[in-house]
Amino acid sequence: MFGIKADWSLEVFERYFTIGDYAGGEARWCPGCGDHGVLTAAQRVLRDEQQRPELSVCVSGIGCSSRMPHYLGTYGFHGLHGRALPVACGIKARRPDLDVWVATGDGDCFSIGTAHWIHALRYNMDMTLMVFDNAIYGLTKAQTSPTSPHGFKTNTHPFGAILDAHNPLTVTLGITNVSFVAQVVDWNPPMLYETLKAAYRHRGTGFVRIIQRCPVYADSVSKALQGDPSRFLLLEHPYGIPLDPAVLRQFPERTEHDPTDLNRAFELAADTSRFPLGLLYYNPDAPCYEDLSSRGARMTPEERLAGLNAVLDRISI
Amino acid sequence: MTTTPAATEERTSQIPGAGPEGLPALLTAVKDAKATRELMFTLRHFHLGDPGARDQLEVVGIDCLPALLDPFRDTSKLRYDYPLFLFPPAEGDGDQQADALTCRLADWLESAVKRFAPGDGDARILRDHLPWIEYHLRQVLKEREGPLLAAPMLGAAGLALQKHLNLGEADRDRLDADLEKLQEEAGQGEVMGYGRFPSLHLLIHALRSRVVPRRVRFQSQVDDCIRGLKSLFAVEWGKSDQSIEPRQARDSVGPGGSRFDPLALSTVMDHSRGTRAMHPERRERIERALAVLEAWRPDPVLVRFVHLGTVAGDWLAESPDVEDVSDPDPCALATDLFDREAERLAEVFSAVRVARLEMDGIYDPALHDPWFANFDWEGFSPEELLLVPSVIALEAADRVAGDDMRSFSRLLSSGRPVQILVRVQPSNDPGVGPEEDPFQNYRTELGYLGLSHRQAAVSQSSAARHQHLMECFLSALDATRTSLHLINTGLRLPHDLVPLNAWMVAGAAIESRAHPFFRVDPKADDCEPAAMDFSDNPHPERDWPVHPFEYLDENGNRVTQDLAFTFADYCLLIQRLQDHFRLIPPGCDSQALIPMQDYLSMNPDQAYRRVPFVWAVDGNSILHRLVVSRELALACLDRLNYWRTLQAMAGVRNHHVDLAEERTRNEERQRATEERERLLAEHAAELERVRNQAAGVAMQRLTDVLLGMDVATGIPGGLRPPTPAAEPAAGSAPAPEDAGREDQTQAPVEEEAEDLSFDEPWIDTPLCTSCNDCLKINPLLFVYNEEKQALLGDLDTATYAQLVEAAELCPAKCIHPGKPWNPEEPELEKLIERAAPFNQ
Repeated sequence: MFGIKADWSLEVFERYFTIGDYAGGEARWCPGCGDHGVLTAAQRVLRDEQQRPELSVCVSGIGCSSRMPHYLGTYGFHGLHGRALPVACGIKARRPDLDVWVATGDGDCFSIGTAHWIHALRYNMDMTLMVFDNAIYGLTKAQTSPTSPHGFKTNTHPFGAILDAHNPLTVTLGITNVSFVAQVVDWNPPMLYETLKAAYRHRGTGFVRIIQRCPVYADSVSKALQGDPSRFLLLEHPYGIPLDPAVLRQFPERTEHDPTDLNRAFELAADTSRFPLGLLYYNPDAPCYEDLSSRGARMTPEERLAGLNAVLDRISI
Repeated sequence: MTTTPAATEERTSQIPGAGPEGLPALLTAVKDAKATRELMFTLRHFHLGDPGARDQLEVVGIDCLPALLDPFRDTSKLRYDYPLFLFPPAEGDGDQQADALTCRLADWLESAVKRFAPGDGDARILRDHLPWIEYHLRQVLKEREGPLLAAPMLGAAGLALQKHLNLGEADRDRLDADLEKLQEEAGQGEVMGYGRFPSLHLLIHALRSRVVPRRVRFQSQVDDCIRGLKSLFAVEWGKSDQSIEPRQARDSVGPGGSRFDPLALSTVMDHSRGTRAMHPERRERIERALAVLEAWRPDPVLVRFVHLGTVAGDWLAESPDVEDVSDPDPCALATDLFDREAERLAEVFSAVRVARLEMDGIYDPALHDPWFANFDWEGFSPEELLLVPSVIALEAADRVAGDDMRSFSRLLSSGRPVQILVRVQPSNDPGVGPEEDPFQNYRTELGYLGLSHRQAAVSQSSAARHQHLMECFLSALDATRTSLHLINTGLRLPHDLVPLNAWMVAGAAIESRAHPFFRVDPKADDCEPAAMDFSDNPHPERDWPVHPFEYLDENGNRVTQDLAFTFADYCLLIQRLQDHFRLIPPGCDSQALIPMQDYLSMNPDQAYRRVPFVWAVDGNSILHRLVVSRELALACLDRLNYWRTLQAMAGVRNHHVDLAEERTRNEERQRATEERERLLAEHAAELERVRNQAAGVAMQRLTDVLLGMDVATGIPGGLRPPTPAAEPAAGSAPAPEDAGREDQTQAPVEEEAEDLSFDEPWIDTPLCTSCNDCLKINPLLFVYNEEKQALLGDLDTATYAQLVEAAELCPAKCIHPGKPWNPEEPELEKLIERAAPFNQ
């Protein structure tokens, strides 16, 4: 039409950000820690979306993973143990224009923060929730965490954990109004990046459980997983996470899974013999709490008056 | 993942195209039947030209645009075809196509970067900023007329980009290197903004690309002739006494000449029986031709153009191969200029021809002398005509249709290969003065006038479609006949409220049939319709191009409707024609009000009861209906008629063809009906016959049965009991199994990971988790890329031991140390053993 091609809009970046613009302090996680990879993936997502650093905020609780706000060149809030999500919900409620990332861990989220985990996911506010699950309390030097495998020896259970590991996926899938549930490992950066990007772009709470290596206190757990691809089941679907050749090479066992199928998602999550990797569940139509709670907030006084009158008319005789 | 509109609204992402889109909306208004009746009275009176009604209706604001053009209101964000990248005249044979000479700067930038950075992640920062560079160049070129060398412009843009980005050192260096490569890609190419004379620049560019190689070829022909003629003289000289004198004989023997006795040799040589010497007349002719050829130097001026004094600018002074002359009658002067140039060249061409004839020894004075005496441009071969320096006559439309018509017409029918360039303003009538009412007469169509000269190449094109324009120019330059180019360049709107640019206005002229494209090259075929090229017109088979238009109605609902872009819409862009429109107040709703396209497709006796309107959007994104004057509506019909004439000429839609088709269809239908009736009759007769026969057979059977005979075998063609279905069922049963097996074999076979081992060390970079472990071992050997993932750096700074240690430490197991490269390193065997697991 009028000689205009499809690329007719000449939008240019007023400001341009490189990965360096999203770097905070030097990351002081142990050498070989999986958290480094998550940090880089998050930085790459921010860079590719050209998100303004001053309009992003990273919120965390307590734990190794919760050091993330220090290393991300955005605003940050290093909160109380288990309380990353209430703070994040507060920020989103007051400043919906901000982009909220939540960094939390297996202890912070699945243990002390359980109540918030449940309710924040039900509220489904627009944020990206990264749970760094290394199956151990690393910051306090090796205590059993909810996801430590049965028999795994720690300071609190020197003869081995006496219960089976808690399954956070089935719990998450059971929460009302949950909208995005994914699982990924930290040692496959292409998939980690794509998953975080999908969670970031999703409107609602993007829950990503990142199975992450602790080379110091849970080396045997992660080594065993890293060395045995048959422990994982890659979920493929056009609506799922885009899969790079590097992902396909590392995880030969795959299955087709439609992420809108909640029942199948439950089945896959409940099968403890293999960890499903990819997008388990996705519902773009789940309402966000901030949308519902702010309904009518932008009404003009005239519109309010008209609305009030309409209500009064209904009860007047 | 799809992002809902609401999400993009909340996000402050800078990704292009993520912004919320504002649709134009209709105002809400209370509908009042009585007020509408009164309003309709006023609207009808305005439509019919009552001056009193003009003042009662609201005039159209200057920020009002035709509804379909509203999305492109902000041209600063509009990525249109200009600036163009002009490829340098290649060393080729000068017959490049239009797309090998020009392309959009945006496309060139993208393809140039792709050439030196083919991967997705390569030259990332530069790629992300190509629109920025394009935007920057567009701003710079706004102030300049004519093409400029691209490389220095890109250099300056690169500096500005670096300043704007203020990157870290590593990124800055990376970007610098990429920018340098981009400049190298540009070479001698040029960039050109839209400016005031885009068509003239493009014509000159096309000329250069054609003429320069032709001249080179001609120069080599002249050199050949000079060599040939000289060799004729050398042969002649060989017959002379001088050539066999002893000194010559010795010299011609070469280095060993001293061993010979030249005197004896000379006496032995036979010079008593030489061929006949050259005739003095011939010698004189050859000498004359040689003198002309040796004195010939190519004209430094490639292009001469004659104009009315309207062209000026620095670019003229900067182009030494372009010469301009100002004259009140450009066509007449162009004719003279051409004749003068042709006369000068006639001498050279005749010298070349004489030289050829002489070299072949077939020059016959009785035959050739009189021919060469009258040799002028009409005797030139096509190749020779193409070598005459090009002359361009730049005319104004109203002068061609007025005072200059005589010389214009003479030039067009003379066949001299001169390019006549006429700038056309589609909203004006060339037949009347620029200040007079353009709609008082039927429009004088200059294109039609050009076609009436039959042997001239005529094209109507626009600077807004550079590809079409270049094609017109190139075909004209190859045609060796007079060419008429009717070009529209659009015009800038004279106020700042709507920064709609000239390119866009020119595009609207094509869209509205105000300036339709066509090209007639009589060379292609003597019959006119076959010679007509009708390409690049939008929706050529329809009356008006139709596009979907989306708006919000009074209740805030999205409505999409197909809208035609008519000549009336185009006139809304021209300020002096805005008096033909008035706003229709929002509440007015009547059956008599109809969209312009419907009005134009109606019968005149139906149409006169109606009042046509067009849709327009103002600066506040409010949708209006504008009533159109009858005068303009008639002008639209006039344009539509011309468009239909062109369609018929181009064979796109032809009344005669339609009639013939209808006639053939009727005949065919009638024939089919007759055939059907005949067949039905035949069928009935046959049926009757068979029925009678069957009745006979049945009677026979009945008689046989009654007589106690075995009928099953007796009846010819009797039915057999159907065979049980088990057989085919048994046959088909294994089929699904087979299919299943086939499926299994076709099921994707898992690709087995190949056991590769490499001698070279490498890192599987996509798998790197950025843990810094390897960088701590040797920050020169391991470096991060733009994605903060490790790459191998400088191997010379490292030992194999470091590489092996890093491979062992790497938590992602993505370092593969390969084989050692330095045999001097201590304990190599142990290291190789340690490295082995990581090389698998």
